[in-house]
Amino acid sequence: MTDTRTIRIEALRFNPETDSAPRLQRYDVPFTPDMSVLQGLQYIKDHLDGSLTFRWSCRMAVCGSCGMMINGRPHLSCETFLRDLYPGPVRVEPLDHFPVQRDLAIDQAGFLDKLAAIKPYIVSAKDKPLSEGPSRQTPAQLDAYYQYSQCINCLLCYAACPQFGLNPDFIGPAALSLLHRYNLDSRDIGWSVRADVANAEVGVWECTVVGYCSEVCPKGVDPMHAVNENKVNSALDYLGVKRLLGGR
Amino acid sequence: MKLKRSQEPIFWLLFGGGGTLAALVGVVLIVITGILVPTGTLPPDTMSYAAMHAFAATLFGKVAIFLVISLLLWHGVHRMAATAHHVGLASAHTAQIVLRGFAALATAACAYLLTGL
Repeated sequence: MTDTRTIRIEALRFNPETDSAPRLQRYDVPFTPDMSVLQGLQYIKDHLDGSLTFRWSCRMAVCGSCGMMINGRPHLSCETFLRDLYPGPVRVEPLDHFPVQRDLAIDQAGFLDKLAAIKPYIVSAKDKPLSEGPSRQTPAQLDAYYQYSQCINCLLCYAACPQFGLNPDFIGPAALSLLHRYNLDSRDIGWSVRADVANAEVGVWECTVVGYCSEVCPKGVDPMHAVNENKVNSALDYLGVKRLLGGR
Repeated sequence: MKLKRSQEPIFWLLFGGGGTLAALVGVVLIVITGILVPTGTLPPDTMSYAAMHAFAATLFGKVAIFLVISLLLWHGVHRMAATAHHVGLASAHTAQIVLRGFAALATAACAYLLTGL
């Protein structure tokens, strides 16, 4: 291959069970113009160092597994291309603000608890028998929540969020976007089901509107907007107006 | 997961009220006090002590001055507290106590001085 070049990848290595501190390990990786950072890491694992640990699955920006800090910014490694980072070096590190399990793999357990807390599924007013057929929605009803349903739980927004960095209990951008996604769904009974999470000190009120979450999202979700809309909802709820207005 | 209800809506509503007022009358006030009066476009006694005192002595004047000063202060300290916290000057809690304490004192002082007119 004539257009093969070489780029240096500096990967953070850390095994919390044996290492006292993380360190950077350098690898010189041959790459072609179609290769992503993820493929560079796969080259390292296949040819240079089988012990390098990182997560990946779909290779097409859908599964949300391969998020990592690339040159200090949160990115999906599958859609970040080595050609754009040439001549390098390329520094890859685990997502900021999360405990490291091994090398580039972070511990997602805290996020999964938060995800469960916002009830990330449709809560209907009553059980609808299958015989009644599907719940239909108009295009406008779909538009109301569509962008938030694009979240792939890649956690780039958490790595971007300085508030989450300071307070790991903060429910955070993705979970609050998904809270909004279900509240906005015409098939869901809405606000009342998830109000306790939104109203909490660690809910929407922990956000100070930095907005970096919305900038790094690879799927075009705008978590900052979801949080802002729910500050209005939570303030109305606080005053009791939300109940007076009725609504879902 | 322990969820404790936040009291932040009170301060956020004051912040929002101040922001709305700043957008509605802030620019007008700057144009009048910063441009039209100093350049002499408006009559020279528009902002004379007597005219201002007479305005502040009416009920409408008292309410208007109180809302503009207090709500814009609450608006300002909300962002200043967040900024102090972002740049690492103080914890969010400390910044809020200091700045909101200042806004509360200034609001009380404003109300006291206006009622005394």
